[in-house]
Amino acid sequence: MKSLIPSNKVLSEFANFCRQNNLNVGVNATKDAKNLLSKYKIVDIDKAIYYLQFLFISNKKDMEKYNSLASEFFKRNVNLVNMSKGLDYEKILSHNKSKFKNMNTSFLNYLKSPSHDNLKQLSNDAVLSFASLDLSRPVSINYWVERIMASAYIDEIAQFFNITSRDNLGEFQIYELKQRFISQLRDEIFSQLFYMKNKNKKKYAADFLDELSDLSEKDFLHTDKAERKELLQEARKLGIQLAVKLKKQANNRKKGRISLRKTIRKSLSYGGSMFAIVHLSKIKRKPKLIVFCDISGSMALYSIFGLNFLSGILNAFRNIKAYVFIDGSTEVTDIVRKNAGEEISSILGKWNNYVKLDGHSDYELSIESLLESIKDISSSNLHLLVIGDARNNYRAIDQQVLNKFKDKFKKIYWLNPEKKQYWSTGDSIVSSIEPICDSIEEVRNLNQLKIFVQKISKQLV
Amino acid sequence: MIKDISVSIKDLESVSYFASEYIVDALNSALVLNKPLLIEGPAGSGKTWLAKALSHLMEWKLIRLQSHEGIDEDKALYEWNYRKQLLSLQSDMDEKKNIENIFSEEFLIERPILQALRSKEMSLLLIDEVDRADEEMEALLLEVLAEDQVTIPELGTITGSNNFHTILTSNSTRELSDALKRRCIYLYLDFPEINREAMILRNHIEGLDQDEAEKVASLISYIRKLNIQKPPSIAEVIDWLRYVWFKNYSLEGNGLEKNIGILIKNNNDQKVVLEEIEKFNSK
Repeated sequence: MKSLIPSNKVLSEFANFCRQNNLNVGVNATKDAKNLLSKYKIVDIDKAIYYLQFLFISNKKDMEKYNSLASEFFKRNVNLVNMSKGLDYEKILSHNKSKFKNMNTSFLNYLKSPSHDNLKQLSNDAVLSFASLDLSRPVSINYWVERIMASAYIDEIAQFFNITSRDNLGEFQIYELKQRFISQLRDEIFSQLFYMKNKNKKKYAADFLDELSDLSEKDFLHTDKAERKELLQEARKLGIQLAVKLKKQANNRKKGRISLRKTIRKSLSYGGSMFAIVHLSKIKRKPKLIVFCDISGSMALYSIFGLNFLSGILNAFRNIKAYVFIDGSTEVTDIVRKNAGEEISSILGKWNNYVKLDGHSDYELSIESLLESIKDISSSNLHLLVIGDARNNYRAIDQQVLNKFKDKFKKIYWLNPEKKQYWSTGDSIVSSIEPICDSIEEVRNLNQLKIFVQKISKQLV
Repeated sequence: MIKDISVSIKDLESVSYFASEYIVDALNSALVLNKPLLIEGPAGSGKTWLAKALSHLMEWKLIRLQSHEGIDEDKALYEWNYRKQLLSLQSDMDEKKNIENIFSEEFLIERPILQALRSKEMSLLLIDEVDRADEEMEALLLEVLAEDQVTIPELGTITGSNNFHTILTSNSTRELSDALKRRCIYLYLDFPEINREAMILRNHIEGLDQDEAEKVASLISYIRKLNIQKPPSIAEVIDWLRYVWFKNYSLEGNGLEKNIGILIKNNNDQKVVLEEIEKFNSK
């Protein structure tokens, strides 16, 4: 059944909804929208959403936001995929004629007729085939998109693009077809998951947080924009607090222990009176800290809080280095020192810059990469703080690497934003890393972070 | 005010512009609602070309304002013909006449915006590369775009005759003001997709078949995604392919190396492109 054209009231509400979510929609947009939809006699809601984009979007970067807002507001799977890209898969079809029987039906239908409806069907099948999908887990939608794109279902489809051409230009043609297909499918899967998550919003809401009004008890992931801003500032302050404590402890030992022998010798020059007490020279034992933050998809917003906490430490205490990792590590000390708040999400916005291989978490590679980067830093009094969910994409982790990791640091502290009940389930490697950590704590809200800071500041000496 | 004007993909193809449905829908939305169309996109993606194609198709007079840093009212809106005014003053004094009004139509030089406002025939005002202009220039445009009028202190408010449409283009070198963007229909025009670019190439190079055109377009699509400073524009691709076609060069092997200067105009970019293509071919 086709939906009716949105009324003036609905258009106004949608415009207001967009404005509340930082999509700048002009005052006259609603009136223009009504005129446009009337002129084209649009009675289909999907078509209406398509046309509204010309009035509601005024920037390339707003396009994705518009997709999400329209999907959320109209409770539909919205993906303004430009299907008139007109990709012609004839080449792929002709090379695989003998394999049609073995080809996935949805995929074959899409190759023959690359319409948006067929793409939606294919995306739907890909999502349904992925048994481990659990939208109640506090991970980003991108995490699930990447998991699905790495699944056997997609692998099976992608192999039909493995065609050798007679000429080099033909190779480019096949390569581009494959890239475009993967890109469109990825976008469609994202839209579908976004729609599913919003459609069942109440079902997926964290029930144990519903009644909480105290912001410091609220899960970082379930905060709105204003709450997030406040929590980011608090996380940064906690970082500064920790750094101040570290500095204080480093400076406290202005004097070493009293040297009895030297004091007696000195007193000889005063006729035996102990005018001057001699202390042993202070051995500088400033604690050195490495912070190691997971910014893979499964970490979602926690990375931003982790990095803000880190920026607080970095700005108040110099003897710290910061690294982020996904499938290899990258030093970000200077970037995090210079930025704070929402600007830190700019680090994560350029996510691709930190991908070394395939963009999926690899703790073994990341640890090895970190150890290589810090090999010249002496291990004496070197501490490590890890912020990560220990999800390793079902990759094994070598015990020897973990042992080297343990040997490098005096102490290892691990903040895990995942609920404890999920630790060591699925691809979580908590059980492997727990033995090498001095402490592994669940930290998903401000209170837990505070408790952790109090604990660690006593131990970081 | 709703207008009953629209174009189709086929209409634009008849004037050698190969558009997608998305482009046509955005264009028609602007025409129907009689609002300016703001086209943003990378340099060389066909923004100005679209405006020219539209004016050719609809047989509208094209009034072009090329924006640049420092452009002001004198270049965009109007200017007084000072020399003529001075001469007129001089001659009136010599003949002992009463000095006529030197701020009259006789001494007014209409620049593009005023030409468009006062145009008696249907026209298309193309404000090209509006992102190069200053914010002060944007403020000047607001009155024109929103209210179809402009104020000249000496002459008063001049209201448009509703005989023109406006297209603004921008290469996104800077963020335009919200006030300007809100008054426009927005179209992001990226480089064309493979099949669209193939059609463009076939339109410009006689004898190029569909398969060859798609292969070349695929290569260009691959190049544009590389980490280069200046991706090749559509015009550069056409020039390059024309040369290759004329010389009957092969694009296989080191064919690209010989004539890459036509396609890629940056030395570092050329190195990157050649390296990446070699890597791709050796896989």
